[in-house]
Amino acid sequence: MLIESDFTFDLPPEVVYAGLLDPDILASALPGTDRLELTGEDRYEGEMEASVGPVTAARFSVVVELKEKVRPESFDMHVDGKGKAGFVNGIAKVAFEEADGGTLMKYRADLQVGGRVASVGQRLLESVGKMMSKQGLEAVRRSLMERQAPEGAGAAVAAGAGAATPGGADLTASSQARPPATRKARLGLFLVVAILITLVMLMLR
Amino acid sequence: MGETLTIRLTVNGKTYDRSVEPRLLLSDFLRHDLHLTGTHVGCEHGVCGACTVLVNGESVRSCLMFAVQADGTEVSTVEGLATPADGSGIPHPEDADLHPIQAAFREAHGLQCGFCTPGILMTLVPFLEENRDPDEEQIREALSGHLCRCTGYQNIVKAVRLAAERVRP
Amino acid sequence: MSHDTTFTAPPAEAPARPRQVGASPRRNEDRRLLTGEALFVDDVHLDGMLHAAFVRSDYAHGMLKSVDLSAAREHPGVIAAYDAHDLGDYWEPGPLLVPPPPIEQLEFHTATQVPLARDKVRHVGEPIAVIVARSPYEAEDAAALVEVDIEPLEAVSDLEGGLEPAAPRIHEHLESNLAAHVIQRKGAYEEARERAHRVIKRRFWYDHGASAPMENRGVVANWDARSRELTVWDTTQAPIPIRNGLAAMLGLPQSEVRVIAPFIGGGFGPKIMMFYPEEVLLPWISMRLGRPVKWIEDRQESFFATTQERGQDHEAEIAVDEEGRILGVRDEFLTDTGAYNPYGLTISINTQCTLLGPYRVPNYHSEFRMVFTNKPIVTPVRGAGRQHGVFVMERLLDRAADELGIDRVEIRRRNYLTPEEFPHDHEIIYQDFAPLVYDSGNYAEAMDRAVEMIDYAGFESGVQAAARAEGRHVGLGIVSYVEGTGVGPYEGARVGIEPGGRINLVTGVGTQGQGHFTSFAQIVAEQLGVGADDVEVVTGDTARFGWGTGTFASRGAVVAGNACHAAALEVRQKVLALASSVLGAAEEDLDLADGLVRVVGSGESISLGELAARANPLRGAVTPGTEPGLEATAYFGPERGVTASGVHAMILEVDPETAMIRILRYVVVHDCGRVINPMIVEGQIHGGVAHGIGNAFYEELVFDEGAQLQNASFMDYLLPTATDVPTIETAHVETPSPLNPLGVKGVGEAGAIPVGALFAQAIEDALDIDGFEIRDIPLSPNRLFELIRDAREEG
Repeated sequence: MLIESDFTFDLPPEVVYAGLLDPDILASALPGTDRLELTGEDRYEGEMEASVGPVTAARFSVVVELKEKVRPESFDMHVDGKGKAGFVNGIAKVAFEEADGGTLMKYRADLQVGGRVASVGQRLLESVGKMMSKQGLEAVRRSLMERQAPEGAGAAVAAGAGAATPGGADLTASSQARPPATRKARLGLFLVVAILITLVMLMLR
Repeated sequence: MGETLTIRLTVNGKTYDRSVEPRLLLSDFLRHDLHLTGTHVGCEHGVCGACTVLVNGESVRSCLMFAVQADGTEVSTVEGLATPADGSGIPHPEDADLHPIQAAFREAHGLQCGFCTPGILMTLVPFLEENRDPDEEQIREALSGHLCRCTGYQNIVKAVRLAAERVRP
Repeated sequence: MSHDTTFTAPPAEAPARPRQVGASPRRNEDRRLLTGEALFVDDVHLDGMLHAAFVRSDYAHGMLKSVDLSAAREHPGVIAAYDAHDLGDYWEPGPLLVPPPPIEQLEFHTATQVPLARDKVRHVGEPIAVIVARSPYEAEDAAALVEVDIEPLEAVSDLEGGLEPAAPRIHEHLESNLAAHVIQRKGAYEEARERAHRVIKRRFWYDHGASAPMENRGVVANWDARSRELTVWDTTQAPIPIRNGLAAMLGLPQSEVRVIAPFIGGGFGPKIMMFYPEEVLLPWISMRLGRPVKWIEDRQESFFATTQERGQDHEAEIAVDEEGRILGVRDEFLTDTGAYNPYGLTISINTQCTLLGPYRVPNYHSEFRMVFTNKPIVTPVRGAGRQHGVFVMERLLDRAADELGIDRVEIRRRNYLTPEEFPHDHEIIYQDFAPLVYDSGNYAEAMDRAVEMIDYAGFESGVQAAARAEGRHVGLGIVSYVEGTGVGPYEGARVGIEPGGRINLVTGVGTQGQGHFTSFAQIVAEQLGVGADDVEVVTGDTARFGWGTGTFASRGAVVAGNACHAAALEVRQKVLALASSVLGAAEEDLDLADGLVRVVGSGESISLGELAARANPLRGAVTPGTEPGLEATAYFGPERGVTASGVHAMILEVDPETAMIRILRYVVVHDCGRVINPMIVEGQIHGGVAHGIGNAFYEELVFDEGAQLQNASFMDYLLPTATDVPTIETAHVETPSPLNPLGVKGVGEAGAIPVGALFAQAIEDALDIDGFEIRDIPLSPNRLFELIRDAREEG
């Protein structure tokens, strides 16, 4: 399954790229992430929970590896997630290019989605997904803009972004206590969520 | 089993006190705890309507409701529709012991495998109370929340009309 | 608009007493169903009963590396957990249910389903492990704890792609994904083609769907070691073969296995499949644990774990002369069998044979390749491949009519077989292994009736013109089909009269709502002079009747019905013989009515109950060589199937902007030979048409390129509702079958068969856009919208 989409930031590619690799910023955009560990260079393993329509609180274990990093132009993300509700695996290529002083982030993922997520989550994933991916990327954009602002402001943004999805507020709140290494790992997961979700939108012809 | 809650409810006029898990569906409670297996489960996600029962007189899908949510309510199932048998075990030859809707379903051939039928009957009981003289469109609309794979609905519509004629004063 | 049916009068030789066959008494089974008393499999409750849940593959194709049951086994309430390795010698692929018929040069490769996947998974939903716990909730909780490691392999989801040399191979023991290659020929098509005035060629895609009975599958098994009896309640259409197979697999004598198919909440084909993994495992688990165990499929599971029917890709051409007479047809198609093919060639051969329809086709070349894919298993669903064939033929005739400027009804009339041409040999082999020979029919008469009922002659200038004047798009469709029904091998029945006067009828076929408790009772009541409600019918319990095959191929009424008839005739003969000696009157002077045997003209009588008591004396001598009681068992095995037929016509309105449709009228003229119970026959037709409408416009199993099903719920897989299905007007033509004493033909699948072809023609007629053709089914508002847009852009 092929997913292609893009998002525009009002900041230059260098700033966006660095920002996306900055765990503090990414933490703001990730509802549903539980345990996460950096288990090797650019390799993250963890668990996340996502509620999509009739598939409630499905837990996924996820392995994400970043490869082919070309700063500030691109990276490839290898995703392998599975859980009770199904699986997702494949490669997402993320590229950044300058556009009118800002950055056009393009991503293209070739993913296999299977199990219950694929068979019954589809239709409802679409609306949930639209909301979540937009909110996630918006949160990243705002965090980047506010990066000079005090710590407290970022957390407020995070709570706002997370509250829209079940369990989101909780997890965002608990993330305050997590060590930075865990937060860093959220980069991959954020994109997994975004991709998983965008994928469903595109799948519906 | 996890934690349980105690509930009290009336089903077809009989009061039951039971301890149930909070996650127990009303449909499973009726079928497997109370052994009222006339209520059927066809899809477990509220589309097919086979599990429809009345809770305080209103049609609900018992697969979308937890047993604990029925605490303190009066539930009616298909088993409660007909007049209780006289104990002889001999059915009334003219189906006079059946609810008029049940009798009309038999007369109009409104059922084939009969699996979806109990749920449809439980939607029609309040429907016919509120609509004494429904037209075909209203009947089809009322039935549209139920799936039936056998009848093509035509004879169900016919049965509803027949029942409406019979119950009309 | 609703139109009450008129039926052909009963045969002139009808006796004076009220007829049972041909009447529509209220159904015997209804009271139990309406009051909630009827027993379905999930209603079985036994003390100490355990519950099973299955762990299934999320992957369409992959190597099964490991299954870790340890966490599941630790879960509270769990009694046992098994994977394939735990089954030991019991692990064995299922039987090939239908071996290929004797067709020359046929190539066939088989791979049948396994109880639990062992080294490899081949479709989503394939069972990998089973958990047994005290409650279904605990079993499912524990199933979620099973760790399954699967290394994904590329999946085969497409028929052409699956046959490419580089395609991933699904079954290692086979050389490719080709499951079968079959050619059937009649005459010499290529020569006919040379002579043709026109040759019209098209490619068609016809996808079938889920059977989706309202009741999912389920099995309860109970091994009682002390009475040495394994009892299995099973949602099967074939309890006796299940009994025989289980006994063999479990090493038990057949007498120790009892399979009960109680009330079944609809079947429509897939409940005939044998042996589903769950059917094989539950009895084994019960014997191992010494406790009853239950498994009930959920709806989502059923989209993968229950068989379904799917797509065929046809390249077909028709050769016609100037008058539109068919000189020959050539059809080449690919057919999807899913991950396994336990049902052999049945569906594809049905397609191949049914394509010929009611027409005279002197030259025919039909060739198909059956392909393994990584999708759920394909077995017959109501219609069983016949839809596909009818679609191809009817579409070709529509195109021929267009090109030759012949009216679409006229081109069909010119090609119909006439009543004088029966029996008609099509010179190819049918699914029952017998030559495809039609027994009887009157196709033109059915067409005449349909034309009259739908007012074909006045439609264009009347309804259609009026609608066009208002800017509305209303079209008419009218198509023909035949259906081979009532195939062998045989069924049996036992009829007995109890001393109390009750009549018992026991037959081996299961029943899924077709009204067998009533129609079989009518057949027996007719011979014994009682009412249908005096006959108590038992079906689907191997302890009560142990010989038979099952309910499929629209054969219940034909094959089992004639067995009931034969048994009833024998009992009638015994009644007459005994009554003759008791009453001292000649048999010819006796009449059976109202539960009594009367001497005509004298008023003397004796009740059937008293005769039964006399036939089973407790003291005294019985004439040597006679049998006690008034009971008889009989069997019926037809030499070949009987051919039912019909014409469907519809008027529908299409909104070209939204591509939504509204059916304004729907007419069915059907010939199922002699009608046992008109009410039940019509009900079967209504249900079939509704299923057909679903197949034509609402239902589609959507798979992605990884063979993942995308719409496994009733929220996304849309069954037609009461607001989608119109009132269906029916009429009957009766051409009794000469192949059985009752003269009946099957009707169970008829309604569903021509609906796709009908939709296509009616929509084309409504839109009247140049070059707009429908070559794919199912349509949907989306798909139709695209087709309209494309046609307009091209035009």
